[in-house]
Amino acid sequence: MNKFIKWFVSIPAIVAGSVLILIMLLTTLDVIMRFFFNAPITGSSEITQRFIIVAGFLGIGWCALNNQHIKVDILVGKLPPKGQKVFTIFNYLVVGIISALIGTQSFKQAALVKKMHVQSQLLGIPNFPFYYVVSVSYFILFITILFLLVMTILNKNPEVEDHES
Amino acid sequence: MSPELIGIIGIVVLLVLIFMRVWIGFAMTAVGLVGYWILEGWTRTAVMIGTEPFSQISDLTLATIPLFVLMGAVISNTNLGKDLFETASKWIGSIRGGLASATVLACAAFAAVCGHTSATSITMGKIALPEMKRYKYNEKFAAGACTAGGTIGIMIPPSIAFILYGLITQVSIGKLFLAGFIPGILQAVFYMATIMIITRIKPDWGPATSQKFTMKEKLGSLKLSGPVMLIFLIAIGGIYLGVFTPTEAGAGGAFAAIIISLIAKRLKWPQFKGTMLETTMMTGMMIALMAGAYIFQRFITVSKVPFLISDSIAAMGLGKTQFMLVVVFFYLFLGCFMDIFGAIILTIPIIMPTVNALGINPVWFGVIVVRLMEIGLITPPLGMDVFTFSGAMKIPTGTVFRGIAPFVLADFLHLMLLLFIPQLSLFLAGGGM
Repeated sequence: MNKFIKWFVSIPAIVAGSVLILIMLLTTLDVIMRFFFNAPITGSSEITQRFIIVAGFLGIGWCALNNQHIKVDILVGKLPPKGQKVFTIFNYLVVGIISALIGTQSFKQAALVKKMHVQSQLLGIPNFPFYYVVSVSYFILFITILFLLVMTILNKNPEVEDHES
Repeated sequence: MSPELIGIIGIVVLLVLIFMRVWIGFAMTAVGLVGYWILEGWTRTAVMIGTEPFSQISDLTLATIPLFVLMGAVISNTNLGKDLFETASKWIGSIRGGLASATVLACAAFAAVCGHTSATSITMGKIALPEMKRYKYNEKFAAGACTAGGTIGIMIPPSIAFILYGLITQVSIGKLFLAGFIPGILQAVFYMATIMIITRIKPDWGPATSQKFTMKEKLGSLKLSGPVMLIFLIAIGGIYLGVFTPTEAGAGGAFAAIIISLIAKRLKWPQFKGTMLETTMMTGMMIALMAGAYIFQRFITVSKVPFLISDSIAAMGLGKTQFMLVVVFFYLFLGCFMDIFGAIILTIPIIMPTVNALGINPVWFGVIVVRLMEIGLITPPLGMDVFTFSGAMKIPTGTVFRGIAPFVLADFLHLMLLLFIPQLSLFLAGGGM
């Protein structure tokens, strides 16, 4: 299960990283074309605006699996492990509910945007696939949180054990 | 119940959730969502949470964050930080306290391409501490120099803290970068002066080394660190001259860092994969935080709390000076236990209307807030960076805190200078008070 979840979450993270490399290449090329040939790439900002959705959101599950989301440990960190476990579970419940809600609403919004044919002005890139990316990212996070929740309840969450000890 | 009261209750609940160790980005989302639901009804809330993550994150400026993170991660994972320290130590390492000064210089240089405090101090600590140990430097003094040096990371551009501040306040990120440059350099100068004073009083804390280097060796050390610094100069120079936007500078910087690492044969597949996953993780963390912040901001705006605070301050007759005094204590306190990114995202939307109403320059205010948070990160008893550094380096926290005390004093002097001479921050950014 551990291996599966790592694979399940790291694949989107690698996709996110690859898209970021594409953003980097596109932006650099745009600067070179504009600076040296006075011929900027048409609509490069529209592409970047959409790619940043992929590069940004697809990594939130990976960040959660690695326990890297920002938190304040000052009070709960002083509690004994059992007390900390309660708060860890509470955190996972909050994050789980939020991710399920945003995932669902973004999915509904994606369908609506698709129906309305909302697209970018210059290149006509449809917006709906990127709403789906947001939705999928939050569902990946939801599954990751579900996994972490179960592992914490079973005292098998290494990140939490390390942190709490 | 009035919207303002609901807003205040929301802020209190948010603080409770944060202290219950709920991830900040999601705590903000939860409170923002429930608060907005109470004030505007479910239909509007459902539309808001469905559209807000896409509409707010699909922002060209936001791409600046992962691009600069990528640049820092490449340089960090390919050991280019070591070259920076070696260059600095070859130039000034042999004088009394020279290795500590070299650490501060290398931190400043690393900060110029990294933009994160604990990443800077730990990277430099791993490289510089063994060297300082070898030359019999006092442990607490050495640890203090590394940890304090790390804080320069968020002042010298590119700074992720400035990007976040700019995104939230709609202040030009380019201007914020330029505004942080002189304060960042001054901060390094203050630390080096502190090192000189300490080693003059206690020469055995940082003895001079017998190693001498020829000019050829010194110039040779610039082989890799030179290009790294060149990346910084081109990126920031480009922003200053208006040739690049910060996003373009980030992309160009990351691209150049990859090329330099490839030429130096430091970037193989394992490093590249590690760099990508590290960047994705940091980006995911930032995006979750930003998405939460925007949802929370929507709630706070409809609750009219920022205006209530602004009106209350006006009614109390607080002037700029009194307000800034409150700000100083508030952010120093906040910096003791909260990450700078979380603190900026959490407080700036609430405090900004007051800043604008009092006619305070938002660029200068950004520099002061970032500087205060930097100090908070290393101030006893809760300085977060001290704990991170002490854990990573296996040095007792008390030792690091004792070593950092003189640097904190230097920090306060530096802060006073920035508070009383705003032009230090605004000169390059091209603004007045």
